[in-house]
Amino acid sequence: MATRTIIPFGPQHPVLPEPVHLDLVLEDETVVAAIPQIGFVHRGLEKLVEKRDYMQFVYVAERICGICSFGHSLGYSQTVEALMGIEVPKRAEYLRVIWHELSRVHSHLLWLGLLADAFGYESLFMHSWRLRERVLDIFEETTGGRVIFSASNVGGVKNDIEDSQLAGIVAVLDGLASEYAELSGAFLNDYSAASRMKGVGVLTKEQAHTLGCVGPFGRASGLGADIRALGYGAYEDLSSFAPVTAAAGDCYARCEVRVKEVLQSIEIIRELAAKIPAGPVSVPVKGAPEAGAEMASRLEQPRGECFYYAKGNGTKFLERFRVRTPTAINIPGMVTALAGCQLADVPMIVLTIDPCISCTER
Amino acid sequence: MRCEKQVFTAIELPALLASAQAYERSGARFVQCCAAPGADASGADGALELTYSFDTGDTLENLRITVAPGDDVPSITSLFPAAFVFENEMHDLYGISVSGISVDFAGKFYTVAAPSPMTSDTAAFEVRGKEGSE
Amino acid sequence: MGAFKLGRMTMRSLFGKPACAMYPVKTREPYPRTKGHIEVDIETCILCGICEKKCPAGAITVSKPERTWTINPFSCVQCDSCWQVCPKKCLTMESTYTAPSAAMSARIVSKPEAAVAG
Repeated sequence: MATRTIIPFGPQHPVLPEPVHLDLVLEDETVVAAIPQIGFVHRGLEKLVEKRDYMQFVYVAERICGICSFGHSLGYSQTVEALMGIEVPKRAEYLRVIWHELSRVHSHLLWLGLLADAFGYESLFMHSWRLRERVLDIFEETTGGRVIFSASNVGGVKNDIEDSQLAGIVAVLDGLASEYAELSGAFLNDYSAASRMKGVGVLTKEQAHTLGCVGPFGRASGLGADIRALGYGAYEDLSSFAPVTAAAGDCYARCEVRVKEVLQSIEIIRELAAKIPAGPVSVPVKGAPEAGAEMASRLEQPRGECFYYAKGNGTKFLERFRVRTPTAINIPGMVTALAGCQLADVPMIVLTIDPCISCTER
Repeated sequence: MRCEKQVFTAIELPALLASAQAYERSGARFVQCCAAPGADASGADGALELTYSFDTGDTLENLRITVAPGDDVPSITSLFPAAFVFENEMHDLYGISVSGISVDFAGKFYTVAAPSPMTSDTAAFEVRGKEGSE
Repeated sequence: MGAFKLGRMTMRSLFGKPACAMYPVKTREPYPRTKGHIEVDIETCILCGICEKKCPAGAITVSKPERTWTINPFSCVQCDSCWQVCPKKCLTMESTYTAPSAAMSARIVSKPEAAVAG
């Protein structure tokens, strides 16, 4: 009978972008079980709805997380607009989706860099983040901020992107394409990267379905759910949209799904920039959510499906605002994928759910 | 903004497990469960509303259960193992007692400074801020 | 090459311009829209206090009796709320960042007594 030891992993670990703690139960070098613990960055942001009215709370919502920042401001705005029955102009919806897809590109490039760092390929990490800088420059040019850009609010977006700037954005993304092809070749075709990722941390389709896994993590196991296919916002105007899936359910499949999603996002941006209608970008908002009104909405963040719920109580402060982030529902999936792996693969598997713990804990 | 198809159905607490089982058999996906203050004009003081959300493929179906603070809520982790994250959170933040969670952290999931912070008055919290910031 | 997948990128990095600028020797030109810090044109300001009410971070303090407009630039989250609601359009968002400092201090701007009313 092999001896069992318990090793703590995190909350500080070089591979983790955010703190999560795992107690790994090991038999020699094999992980038998993992018990997660979160709560290191719980800031009680959901309680702040009592103190900041519904127009100001968007600034709190976008600071839930740095990487998914625009997604949260979009989800919040979308939910409160549905709660109050506000229709935003079409141009605002297009701009929101363009910024959101750019957010997806930057988030996946960040994740690819961290993944490369996790298996020791530091120069690939640096190159991924160098390409990501171009996307951050686009954000700064169009909104004024690199990471948290306060672009969306209840009623629309705060500033417009001129058509010449849109053409500039598409040109930057086109210039990214050849270097990105080289980068993705290194991730998907390199022998040492593949041998670190293939067959590691497998989650079967049935397991993923029972655990309710979402996002690229779930799609890599064969689940086809992608909230963008529901056609909210400007996504309904796309000529076609098919979620990117893979079948193997291992780390390599998750990497493959995210690599292809970057290309898919660039295509979406190109299509929407060509089709964007002219018009105003916001509508004035008056009044407050009615008492007892409630609304749920979902959004496809880079990490998966994000659920927002807002409830009004007649005053300008919301009664309740709830964010259920993709990482919250992927943590049980991660814990299941960890069972049976080697200790050296633990950082890689933890990273493949793209953990955004600050979102999860708020 | 066109919001997706969603329904909110009010059910009683004893019917929770049976409804969850029906969703599990039909292959629906568990989305989340959360608590909210049950503040409506006729609601009892301190009553809380639980919302359990399921994705049936074309609709977002939400179950709404009104509970009093002392009520015991059965866990659905036997059907949807991923629910343990949210049930522990409901317990830590709202003080709702959920029994039978597969991975029960007994209040230590989010190590919060005061018990059940979401239902307490904000003024009761000691604000530890820096001088000069508001 | 079969094994060296990042060949072209590595050669370009070796022989091309470095990707990073030599900060602080060389600083980057900010974009026109970059959100840096808030400046007030105190002559035009009427000390109405709307910016103070709208600020979500509580960074602005306006005192009509003392005739001062104070901002704590380290509390400011660059959300653009204040200059958008200012009735006199006396606030601007400049594109340079607040300089780093060892202490978080507020910046007080005093409005001089005017010879004519308004």
